[in-house]
Order: sequence, then structure tokens, then C-alpha cells
Amino acid sequence: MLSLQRRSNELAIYPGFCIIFFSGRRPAFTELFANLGEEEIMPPGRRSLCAIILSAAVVAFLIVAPAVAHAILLESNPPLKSAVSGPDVPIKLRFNVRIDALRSRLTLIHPDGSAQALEINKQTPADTLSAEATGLAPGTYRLRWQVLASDGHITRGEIPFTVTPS
Amino acid sequence: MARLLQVFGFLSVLFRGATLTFQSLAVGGIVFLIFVVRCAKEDLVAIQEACLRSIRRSAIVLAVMQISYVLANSLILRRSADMSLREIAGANFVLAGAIGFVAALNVIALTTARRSSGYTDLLLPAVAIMASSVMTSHSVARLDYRVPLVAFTALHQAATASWLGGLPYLLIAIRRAPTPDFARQLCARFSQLALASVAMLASAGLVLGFAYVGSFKAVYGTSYGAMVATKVLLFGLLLFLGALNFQLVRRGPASSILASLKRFGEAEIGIGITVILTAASLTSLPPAVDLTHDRVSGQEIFARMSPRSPRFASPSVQELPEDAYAAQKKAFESGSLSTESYVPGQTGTRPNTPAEKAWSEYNHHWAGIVVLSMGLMALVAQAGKVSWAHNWPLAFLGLSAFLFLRSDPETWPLGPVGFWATLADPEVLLHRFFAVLVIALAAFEWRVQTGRVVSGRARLVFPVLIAVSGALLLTHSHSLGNLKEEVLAELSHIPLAILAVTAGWSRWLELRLPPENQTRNVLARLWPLCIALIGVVLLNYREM
Repeated sequence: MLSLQRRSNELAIYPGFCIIFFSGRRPAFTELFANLGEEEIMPPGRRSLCAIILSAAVVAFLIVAPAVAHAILLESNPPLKSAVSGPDVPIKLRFNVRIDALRSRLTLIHPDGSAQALEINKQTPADTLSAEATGLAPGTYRLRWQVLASDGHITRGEIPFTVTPS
Repeated sequence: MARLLQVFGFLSVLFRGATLTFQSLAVGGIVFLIFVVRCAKEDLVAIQEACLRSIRRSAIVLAVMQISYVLANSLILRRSADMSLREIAGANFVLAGAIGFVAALNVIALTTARRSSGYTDLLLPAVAIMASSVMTSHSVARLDYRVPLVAFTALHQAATASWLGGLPYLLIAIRRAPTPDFARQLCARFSQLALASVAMLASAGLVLGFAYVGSFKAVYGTSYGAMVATKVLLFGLLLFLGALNFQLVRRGPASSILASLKRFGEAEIGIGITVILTAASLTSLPPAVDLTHDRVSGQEIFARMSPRSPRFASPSVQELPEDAYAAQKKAFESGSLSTESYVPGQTGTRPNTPAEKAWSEYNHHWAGIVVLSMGLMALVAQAGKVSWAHNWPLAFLGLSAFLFLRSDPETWPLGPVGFWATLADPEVLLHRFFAVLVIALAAFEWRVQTGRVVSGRARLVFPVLIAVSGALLLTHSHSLGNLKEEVLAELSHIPLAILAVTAGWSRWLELRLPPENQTRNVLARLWPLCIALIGVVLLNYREM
């Protein structure tokens, strides 16, 4: 029994294993291995194709698990699981990389479960998202964030916090 | 929605990996044509056409992958952030994808046209392809020293493409060289190019390593640092093969120089692809300098890795959580996992319970015993004095039975879920399928070892699978945070991966090198030794 993370790693391995295993039984694939540099069995064009297929098979089918570079949250206001006084709460999230603020989203989940999209301020440092949550009644909230990093990769997360009466 | 995002998230990763590979192949081919083949002489037509064909095919796949990557990422954004197409169109990754796509089309057009002069016109789209790749690298998103980091990333990627991307073209060209002398010339020119590329990629890599890792403690204390160290080790392995080539050209028997060079070239391509996979894996991690909390200390590594007696008592099935997925989902929904950053479609991680860890350690330790026995028997078999030792692949059957019984304890025969019901679960089905595959591999390699199969190609399946398994271990998914358990797991998997890659390619070379090459004798002992060492590492595997 493994955690989901580990399971997803395992799952990543099996398709690659199977594909390579069966590719190994296809003539084109095995010819490539068996005859590199020996007498011509395959026409040259087909061999070149096989060279490409080899690299494609190994990389395109086997890079199944790695994701791409992602932004991580370094600090936030309100801090994680903190209590802040309402009703107006300034929101500021700082990441480890440049963020495409135009294509990022902040959503506030209210105690009753309703979602409110927050307007992101345009004039902030490149690594920061900021917004204003106003008129918040006391209760438990969750701030959902989704950012697009400048290198094109998407990350999301959630910050639970509590609003107390001022 | 979550499942859809998961599918597209998975696809975007697939496309990204393929893009990196085919850009290396396309650019590597162009550099090879310009700097190694050099001129368009009459008697070189076969080489040029073969290289142009391969470059064109790489560019076609690259163009398709670029478009697919942009589409998958756009769909994720559209679904997860409810963004309009106009908004998405202005994103940096769309611009980078468009540049890469147009450049790839340009390469296709230029390599299709008949030509009588040189190939320098291909350089411009090659530069554009590299630029599109750099635009989606770590360097572009950095806050400090952005311009120099972009420049060093460009140098690092260009050098990688010239060297590793050029290697398949060297093999293609050697095969078609009109005379052995010309083949030697090609090798000498490529050697110069490779030396320059290696120097460039090592220098740029050093600067990038310093910028992204930052300190020696981060090398072993973070996943990113550990993966960089692995990349350096594999790079060292490639350099070692290069040194063998050098030695061969200087002192080897003239009759087998070219044949040996080709075989070393094959192994270099394989290990080179592993390095690219490791590099792709690195891009999934935030740089070590950004993760200053919760790093693993030297003492923690020592405590985890110091030798202890293996665990031969397993917890009972009743001690394990009823359903790992349900437990995970519950923890996530309760908010206990929400402190992490995660990618769309991902659901965070739940720490394993002590019973789960003990279950896993027990599995690893028994697998270690089987693998260690296989390695030792193979070592004895290679010595040629004990004939029954050639039956060592049959030990795989034990591994298969073990996998069948222990991989999914909640299912038949250990758990309450019936056999037929488990077949509806894709994960369990895959595990079952894998168990059958291991049986097939056992039968296959047993026939090879006992001389029932003598075909050259059939014998290569085993080394390829071993090397591929090693590469896969280096490319599995990582946590975005600096979770200590993840880093420690990473550190225990890395030696396994390096040993598997070494075992696979040394067996490959043993089978492929010409008989007069003396290195074969060393390699024949090296791969069983690596397999035995994999067993030893598995026997000391710990999760707590």
C-alpha cells in the first residue's frame, strides 16, 4: 500500500515499460539495435526513421511523470491558518519566480461555501499577487490561488484562514 | 474536471518531454551537418540525405509537439481559470510555442528543398528553436540575474544539442561513409565539436548549478540538489566513455577501432538520453535556493541510510488503511494538505502510516534478496565454471509472484476485493500485467543465458530494459515542496538508478563490442556486479 504520490510514480513506470517491451518485438525497433553499423538489412531511409523512433520511444513515451517548473508560494498575507481581523483583509502572496499576474487567479471561498473571484492589483512586484478582500464577516475562509509562472507553468494552492471581529 | 485536468496535465508533460528531445535531435543534426560533414560533395550525398531526412523528421515531430504542448496548456488554463482564448493567446508559453513551431516548419521546408551549397541557412531556425526552449526555462522566470541566467541556459542547451543531439547523426554518417578514412575524419571532427560542447555545457552548468543550488548542503538536502548531482555523475560516465574512445583511437587494434567507436556511440546515446531525462526531471522541481526550509541534514541521511538488518516480518493487511485513495482524498478535503503548492489535477500527498512504511520496506528487502541472488549467480555464470548458474533469470519468477501478492494488499488473494473486481481498477490491472511481463522477461533472458536464443537482437532486450528502468527511476514525479520524506526517498532511488543504467549499458557493450576489444572482459563482470549492488541497496531501503 503506497501513498498516492508514490502510486502515481509507479503508474508512470508501467506504460513506459510495456511500450518498450513490445516495441522491442517490432522488427523496425530490433533491427535498429541489431544492425547499427553492420551490413545493410534495412534501407538507409528506414534506418534513419528508426533512429528517430528510438529516441522518440525512449523519451516521448518514457518521460511520463516529470512535470515542468512550477511556482511555489514563499509567504502569504494572511498567513496560513492564521486569524486576522476583518472586515477588510489585504491579500498578498509572494512566489519564488516571476508571475504572469494577468493570467493568475485569486478566489475566496466564504464560510457558506460560495466562491468570490478577487480582482488582482496590477501594480505589484513581478513575484507578487495582491488583492483586497472587503466586507468579510467573521468565520473561516479559504483563499484559492492559481498562478501562471513566466516560464509557462501553472501551480495552484489554498490558504485557510479565519476572520475575527475587529 | 479534476480528472480532465489530470489528463491534460499528463499530456502537457508528455509533449514537453518530446519537445525537448526532438529539438535536441533537430538542432544537433543541423550542427552536425554544418560543422562535421561540412561540404556538399558528390560522394557525400548519401550521408547528407540521410542526415537531412532525420533532421526533417525530427522537425516534423517537434512542430507537432510544440502545437500539442501549447494546446494542452491552454486547455488547462481555460478549464482551471476560466480564461478566454484572447487572454491565453498573450501568454509567454504561447509565444514561445509559436516561435518553435514556425522555426520547425522552416527547418522542414529548408531540408525538403534540393540544395547544392552548404547548410548555414539552417542555423537561423536552429537558433529560433533554442530560443523558444529557453523562453520556457527556469531562467526566464527568475527574479535576480535574469539576463545572464538566460544566456547560460541558452549555452547549456545549445551545447547539449550539439553533443548529445549530434551523436545519432555520427552513427548515421559512419554507416554511410564512402571510405574508412572518411569515417575516421568524421569521428575526429565530431570529437572536436564534442570537446568544445562538453567544455561549454560544463562551464554553463557550473554557473547554473551555483545559481540554482547555491550551497553544498543543498546538494544532499534537497531533491533538486540531489538530481543535479546525479546529472553530474551521469555526465562523468559519458566522459569516461569518451576517454575509452580516446584510448581506443590511440592504442586500440586498427581493425576494430570503427566498430568499437560505433558501439561506444550507442551507449553514449543511451546514457545521453538518460541525462536529458534527468534534466527534464529537474525542471519539475523548484530550484534548491528557493527551498530554504525543511532541508534534510547530513545526520538525518546518516540515520536513514546506516546499515541495519533487513525487515523480514510484514505487518498484517488489517493494519493497513482500508483504502489509500479514500484516506488521501479525506486528508485533502479536510485542508490538512492544502499548505502545499500543487499542479492542477494533483491532490496533494498524505504521509504513509507506519504500517504502510513497514509493508513497503518488507517488499523492498525481499526484492533485494532476489536481486542480490540474481547478480551473484550471474557473476558466477560469467566466470563460466558453474553451469547451473546460467539459470539466474528464473529468479525473476519469484519476483513476479511477490509483486502479484504484495503490490495491492487490498485485493485478492490478500484483501477482501475479489479477483475479477480488481480487473476493473486500471492501477491493479497494470500491476497484474506487469507481473505477467516479468514472467515473460524471465523466460526470455533465461533462453538467452542458457544458449537457447542466439540472435543478436533478442539478447539486447534485457540490457535495454535494465537501462530504461534506471532512466525511469530518475524521471518519476516529485513533490513541489521540500518534504523530507520525498528527499530521502529520492536519495535512496538515485543509487539504484545509476547502478541500473551502468548495468544496462555495460551489458549492451559486452554484447555489441567486437570480440578483440579487451574492455568486454571488464564489462562482463561489471553488469552482474551492478545487479548484485542493486540488491544490496534494496536490502538497506528504509522509509522510517
